[in-house]
Parts: sequence; structure tokens; C-alpha cells
Amino acid sequence: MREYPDEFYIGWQSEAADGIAERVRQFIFAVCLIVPVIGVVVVLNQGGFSESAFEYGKVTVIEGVFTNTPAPFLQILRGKDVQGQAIYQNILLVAPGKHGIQEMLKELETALGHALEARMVKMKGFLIYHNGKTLMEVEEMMDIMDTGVAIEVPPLPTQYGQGSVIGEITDPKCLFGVMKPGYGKPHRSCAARCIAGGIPPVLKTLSADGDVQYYLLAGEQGEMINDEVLPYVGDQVAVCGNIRKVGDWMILYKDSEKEMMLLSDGLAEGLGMCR
Amino acid sequence: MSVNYAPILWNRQKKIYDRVMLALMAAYLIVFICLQVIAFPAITIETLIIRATGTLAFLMLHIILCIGPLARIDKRFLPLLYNRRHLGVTMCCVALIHGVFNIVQFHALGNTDPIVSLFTANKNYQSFARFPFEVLGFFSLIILLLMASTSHDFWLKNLSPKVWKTLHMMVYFAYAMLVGHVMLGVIQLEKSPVLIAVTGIGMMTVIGLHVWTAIKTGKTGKADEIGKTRQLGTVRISDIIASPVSPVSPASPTSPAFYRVCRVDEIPENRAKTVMINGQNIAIFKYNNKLSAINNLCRHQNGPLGEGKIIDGCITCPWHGYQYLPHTGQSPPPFTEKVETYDVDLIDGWVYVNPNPYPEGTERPPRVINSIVTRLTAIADAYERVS
Amino acid sequence: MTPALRKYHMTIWFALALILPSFFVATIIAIPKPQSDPQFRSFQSEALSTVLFTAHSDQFIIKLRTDGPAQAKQIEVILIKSVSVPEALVYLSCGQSEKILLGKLSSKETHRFPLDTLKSFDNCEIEFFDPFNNIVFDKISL
Repeated sequence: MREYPDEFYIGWQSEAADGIAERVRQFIFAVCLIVPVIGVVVVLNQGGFSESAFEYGKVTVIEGVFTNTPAPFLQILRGKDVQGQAIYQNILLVAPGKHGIQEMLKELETALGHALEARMVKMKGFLIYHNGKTLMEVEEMMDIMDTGVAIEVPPLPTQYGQGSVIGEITDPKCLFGVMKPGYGKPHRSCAARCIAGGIPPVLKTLSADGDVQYYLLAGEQGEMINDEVLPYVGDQVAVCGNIRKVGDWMILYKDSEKEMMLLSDGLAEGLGMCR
Repeated sequence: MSVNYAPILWNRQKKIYDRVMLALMAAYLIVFICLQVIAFPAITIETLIIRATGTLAFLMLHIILCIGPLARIDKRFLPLLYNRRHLGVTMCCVALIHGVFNIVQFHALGNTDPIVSLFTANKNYQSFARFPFEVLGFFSLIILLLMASTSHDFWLKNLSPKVWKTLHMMVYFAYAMLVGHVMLGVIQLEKSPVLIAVTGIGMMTVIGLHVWTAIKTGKTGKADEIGKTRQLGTVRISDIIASPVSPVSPASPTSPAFYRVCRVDEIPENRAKTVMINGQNIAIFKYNNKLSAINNLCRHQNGPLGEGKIIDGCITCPWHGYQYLPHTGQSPPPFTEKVETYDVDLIDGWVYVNPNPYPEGTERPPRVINSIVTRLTAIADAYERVS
Repeated sequence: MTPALRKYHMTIWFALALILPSFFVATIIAIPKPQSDPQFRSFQSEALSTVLFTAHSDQFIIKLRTDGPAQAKQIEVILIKSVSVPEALVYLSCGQSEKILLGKLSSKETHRFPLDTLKSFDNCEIEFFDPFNNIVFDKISL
């Protein structure tokens, strides 16, 4: 190794001594290698992002039957299948930002002088969708129009009985398109903010084969339970209740007498059983 | 050195330094963004910006933290230290972009003030795994912002070097919190062993370099390098001598006047020997057949003047180039920094120094190295060895 | 660098050398394990016993199933990857006849739709239709 015993260089001098210049060049060279390699390694070792979509800026107009039970949906009839069963698409409605649409609806119903429940409503907004679930962000009250009484009424919910579901609670707006990722620890605070703002919470559950099911969470009587679920957002939980299908959404009406349970609270043995 | 408050005093080295820094940052961002868009076209622009700036700032902080110990281990890395503050301030800007995007993305447009939401959206402060990692990132950013905003010498002077240095040492605390922010945050979702390994390697590199440097440069009694501080052990009475030609320091007339330091030929030309005596950190310079002694600590950031060199008649600090005249301890006009001076003596080829300091900037005549005395001493030493 | 500062540095970094690696390992242990629901429920019909026919596209695998004796038929749609359209309606299209709506894809799981028992499936296709954009985004011939 070359010796450079008495070299000295300070930045305001014009030229560095050979040994010092060589050492600095070695450092720069090493950094020039490390920096792009780190960039490549970081990018290629991410888990990936869903194909969910938020059509912000692209206005879509939809018309269907409005219901606010258990959550604000616009129910669109798509046709009937070979067995004559009506196929409805339920579009979950949300407001801009991290807000539910309840305030906007109250204001509109007050202005109209009647409830919108079971009426034909036309509305425009931006679609959010992924994995067969669709939401619409309605920008303002003026984007909602009552077009009259609904002629065709959606069927009653299909009952599937009691059950317990294990999954992660998050907000559907971020999960289905607005944020990527819309679940997990980094997103937890945002999900809590959205749910606190009135967006109905969703329980996302996975099968061992990778199939995904989404349950909208509501109280036993269909009431909002946003405040109740807030401490559990972003965690793996077990929720017990009555399962029904409303349009193309599964709804879990949480049993009021059974608490939600964090899986980290040692649920290993009684997995899936609620206290 | 800045006399008045001037934003940056540019020179060639600083310009090259900053250009290389910006080029590497651009290279990282281009590689990251292009690869991200190719590999994961479904990513949103906000997530892309958050991850690009977060990883870049974290990487820059690792490089910044490595520069200090590298410069201690091998002084040829000192040019990297010279302009390190530019790296730090730039890194802070990148971190600020990351922080702002995160706060807006995850906490704005809700029913709560975004900063309040940062602390209240996740209240699991009692849990380790569920701990709100955002709070760690927030406080790290505050520390980095404080450091960046006080990086100029103006603040160094007005806050005092001690306060300033204490503030800037908080970067270690910020680093620890950032490791927590990453490991309790994005790693809890991404989970890739490769990402965990990269983070771990970065952390162990920074820790390892600091610990190695502490061990290597810490204790007394090791073989001296040029300018390395050597603490004198117990001084024997026979080592203590009052020189007939150098008066006892007026600061402490009752204490022993002079301590023997080294042989005069142990000090290279235009360089120094440093010693610690009675809490005084002293650098003894040899130049133009003379010896002078000043306090070893530069008034800028307490850099080791004894590791510097005399250039154009001035002692030059190796860290940032602050200069002092050897016989007065004063910076050449128009600069105003001053260090304490000490009396130095030379007897029978041995260098002695009086550790009682004169006030900053006090002129003390340099000790001329008498060449006849030096030659006679060398002959006497050689005679001793032969017999 | 004063001796006092050097001492502070040493103390800080020896402390970090102990604390940070331990903390690092603890965070790795805290990483949540992937959790599936052992009682995961699919709300689709049971699969009929015999597969008559399989076809696929980039996004879907189609199986035509029957139960043999009663000759009931079923279209099973397996998703290879997530659907990225606002709505995916599944139609049976046979030549010039009117398209028959079979159902819609409502989650990321295997879907099963009943078919007419006596239907012949010559020249038929399964079409995946997005009513928002009014496009057939995939089709598979039977």
C-alpha cells in the first residue's frame, strides 16, 4: 500500500495531494456503485401493489335505487340470471377526502324534505374499484338527484346465519383504489382517519389458497360501529355476527354481546371462536 | 471562514462536492422511479414519491454518519468532512418532502388536524409491534430540521460551540429513531428478508465504524502518530523543571512550570505534537526552526489543530481550514477567532511546555531551536548508546 | 473533538451498539405472520362433480361442469389475477342469440354460475363485460 505520510489538504486549496485525492476517488467510486444498487434492490424486493383504481377526475354518472341500510349504497340492476334472480351491483358511496357521505345525505334530505331511501337516484362522481367491489366518491350535494320512486325494488338481503370471520379491518375507499397499499401497518393511521370520518369499515379476509372476501361491518341492527372498530384498525381480528348478502356485498352484522378479538391476544387455540 | 453572515462561501471543492452529491441523488431517483414504474406500474404517484424520498434520505444519512469515523480512522477522508453540512442539509430537504407527503397522504382531509392525527390516529403507544412508527419519523425530522437550520457558522457562533455541538449530536438519536421508524413501519408490511438485510447491513456498518473508531482512537499509551494526543502519565519530579530562560506562567505561579513532552526531532516540520496536561489540550508546532504552543481546539468546531499543518505561516485546521498564527493564537485579519497560547521551552533536545494558558490571542515569543545545542545533544545521545 | 466529546461519542455508540441490534431483532420477531381464516367461507354454489371442458385466457380459467345424472350444468370461473374494471358481468353468448347474463364477479374467488340444463354450447363464448365502459374486456370460447 502506498504511504502518504505528510499530505495535507483543505477544501479552499486548489488541488489535493495524490494520496488524499486517491482515497476520495475510491470513496466516490464505492458510493457510485452502492447508490444505484440499493435503489434496484429496494424496488425489486417490494411486495407489489394491487391493480385497484381511483378514477379521479373522470366523472361517471350512475342511476339506481338508493339505500342507507346498512350503508349508503346505490343499487343498480344489471339483469336477471338463468334462474330469474336479479343481479344487482351495489355501489358504496363516499364523500371527498377521508369522509363518509352521511353529512351530505342529511343535508340533501333536509333540502328535499324527504328521505332518499328506496328512491331512484342519479348521481355523478369518481369511481373506485377492485376485485369486484365498486365505490363512488361523490364530490358535492349537487351531484345527487332524486329522480323518483323506484319501480323495481331490490330483494331482501340473503341470510347466511351466524359466523365468525378473521381478517384485517380497513377502510374500503383506500383499500379499493385510493391508496396503495390500502392496508397494513403503514396505512393504519389513514384507515383510522377514514373510518373516524364516517366511511364504513370493511373486514378483509383471506383463504389459505389466496381467495379474498370482503365484509362490510355494521352493528347488530345495521347501525354504524365506526367508533367501536377504531382501536382494531390494521390488526388481525376475529369478529362474530350475522352474515347477510346485500346486492353483491357481504355484510357482517356484529354481535353486540361479543367483543372483537385481536389475534395477538392468544387466539391460537380457539381460532375463529368468539367470546 | 465567514466574517459576516454569508450564505455559503463557495470554492472549487465545495462545487465539486455538491455536484457529485446532486448527481448521485439524481441517479438514485432516476433508477428508483424508472424501475418502480416498469416493475410496478400500478403504483400511485404519492406512494412512489414517499418511498423514493424516504429511502434516499435514509441512505444519505448512512453515508453522512460514516464520514465522521472514516475521517478519524484515515485522515485522507477529511475532504469528505469539509462539506458534510451540505450533505446534511440536502438530506434534510429530501426527508422533509417525505414527511410532508406522508402527513398529507395519511392524515390530511380528515376530521382532525393532520398533526394531531399523526399522534392520535394510532394510539397504541403501549404496544411494541403496534407502536405508532410515524411519531418516530416525525421527531427525527424535527431534529434534522433543527440541525439543518442551524448548520451555518452564524448559529455555531451565537449558540456557542458547546450548545451547537450538543444539538448536532442529536443526529445519533434521530438515526436510532429512524431505524425504529423503518422497522416498525414499512418493514412490518413489506417483510422482505432482502430489505431487512439491507437495513441491517446499513445499521451495522454505521455502528461498527463508530465503535471501531472509538476503540482505535480512544485510549492513551498507544504509539503516537503525527498529531495524535498523548496523555502524559504520572509526571516524575525529575521531569519537572523551571527553565531559566522561560518565566513561570503568571496564571499559576505555584504549580510546576513546565512538563517534558517529547524530543524536538519527533515533531515533523510544519506539524505538531499534541499532549493533554492538567486538562489542557495543547498542540506544539515546529516551523522555521521555531517552536510555538497553542490550544489544540479550533474555535470553529473544536477541530484538532494539532492534526493540521502550517500553510503560509498559519496553523490550518484539518476540518474546515480555519487558521491561526502560531505565536499569537490569533486568526489572520480580517478574521477574529483566537486560541490560548502557552510557553514552550527546549532543553537538551527535549521540548517542554507550560500548561498554564495565556488568554486567547496573547502573543508569546516562539522558542528558537538552537542548532548547536541540538547537535551537541545528538552527539551525547549517540555516545550513550555506544557505551 | 475534545476529550469530553470523544467520551460522549464513545458512550453513545457503545450504548447504540447494544440497543439498536436488539431492537432490530425484536422488530423482526414482531412482523405479523400472514394470517388466513381457517373458516373462510365462500358463498358460491358447490362445484358439480364432472368437468366437461376447460378453457382459459390470460385472466380467467373457465370450467364447464355437470353433475352427470341430472345433467345440470355450471360455469366455473377461476380468477388468475384480480379484475381491474369497475364491473365484470359474465355472459354466455352463442352466435346470434341473445346474450344470457350468468352473474357478476364480486370478489377474488372462484365463481360458479348455473346454466340451462339442456343447452348446447356449440359456437358459444363466455364474455366478460364492463357496463361502465361498455366493453367486452375478455372472452373465452367454449
